[in-house]
Amino acid sequence: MDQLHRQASQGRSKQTGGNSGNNAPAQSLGNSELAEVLLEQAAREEGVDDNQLLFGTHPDQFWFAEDGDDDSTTTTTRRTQEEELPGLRPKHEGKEYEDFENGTAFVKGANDDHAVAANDVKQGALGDCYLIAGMAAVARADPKLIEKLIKDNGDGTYDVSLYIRPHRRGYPRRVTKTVDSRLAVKYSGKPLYAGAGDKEDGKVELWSALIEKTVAQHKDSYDSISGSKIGKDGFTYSGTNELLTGKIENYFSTDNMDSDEALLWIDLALEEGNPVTTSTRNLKEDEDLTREANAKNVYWNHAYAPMSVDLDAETVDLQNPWGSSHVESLSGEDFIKYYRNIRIGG
Amino acid sequence: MIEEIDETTVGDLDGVRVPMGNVTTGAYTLPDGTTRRGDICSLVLPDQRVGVFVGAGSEVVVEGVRWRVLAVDNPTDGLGSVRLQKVD
Repeated sequence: MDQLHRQASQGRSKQTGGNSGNNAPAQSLGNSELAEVLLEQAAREEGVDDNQLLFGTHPDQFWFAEDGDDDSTTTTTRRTQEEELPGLRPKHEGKEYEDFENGTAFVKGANDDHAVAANDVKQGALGDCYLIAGMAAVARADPKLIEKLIKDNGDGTYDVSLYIRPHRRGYPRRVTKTVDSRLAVKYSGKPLYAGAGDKEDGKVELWSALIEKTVAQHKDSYDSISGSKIGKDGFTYSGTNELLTGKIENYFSTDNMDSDEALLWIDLALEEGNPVTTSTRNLKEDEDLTREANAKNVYWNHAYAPMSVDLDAETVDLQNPWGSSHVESLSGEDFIKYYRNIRIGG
Repeated sequence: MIEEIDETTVGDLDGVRVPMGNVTTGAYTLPDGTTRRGDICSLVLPDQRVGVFVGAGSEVVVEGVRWRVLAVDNPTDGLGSVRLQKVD
């Protein structure tokens, strides 16, 4: 039950409106007599004696919240996570963690339909394109799946859940860790790894950075989630779709597909709201092919999240987890030439 | 200031996000116009749609600031990297 905001008669200055300290929000009152009774009651509860009540206070000295007032006067103590922060990549030793006090899990971008959007993700100085692309894919398929993973505790910490198998043959189970809003930063003060998403009213969106941090937390370091390291040291990794949704991911090699089939699979997945990602081959040895692919923003050993398919034109658009350099109107023929698989979540 | 960017990740050149594409071997152009052959990588500079291939000795301008490529690492196994030094 709300308690009355009381200006103690011990000499604290009175204020009209705004935050006057560390007390609970004032109760909305519409009856001055009732106000006096309640004030007296509150004062007695705080140990104020009768003399002070008679001579030291008056309802006019107190601030009353009017109906409809937005009283955001409560200050909450910020907490930090209990677990040690995940280690940084060896080349980043010495970089600092910074508390993103203005961070919040979700912020709706101006052109977004939902607070969680595929374009919120931005890969940083870590080889976890598989994770960033996977987050974009799940966000595109169903933003609520991402929302369900993060609970804002309102004190600078977040409960972040992932679906992890206890062993390779086990079923994914929802495992929750509490992480705080401290992120490793570059000299510029921007996140070193997964970047912030939308910004609005002084708030910055952190959901993808929080999920990345939580994955690193499970393995004690960011370095251990770079590339193929994610599935090592006892951590069972069965695809980012499964990690984020708990549903098993279906893997299709494009080696046995023609271009029509590949585009149809992607189109169907997008139509049905299933997360879909794809990874490129490793053809770096071929300089000409590398130049050809890079000119289309296709980079080897990299994961992408398909955005749309044009079956008439036989082309596909793919989101680059960098947040830029997306692939536009790639032909189906080039798709199966450059990309080695299609991963579709349940 | 020296910065290193790993293959397929996004680096930071004095506050500017610069992704690095792939590392391979090939020809590239030095600031004096001469052509050299060696380990190269594609850097995706701001306001450019696709990456530019650079090698040791190349220079790029990132939001008005010149950076020189010190080395491109092209390992036989694993991801490559590029090291750049701020010139201006």
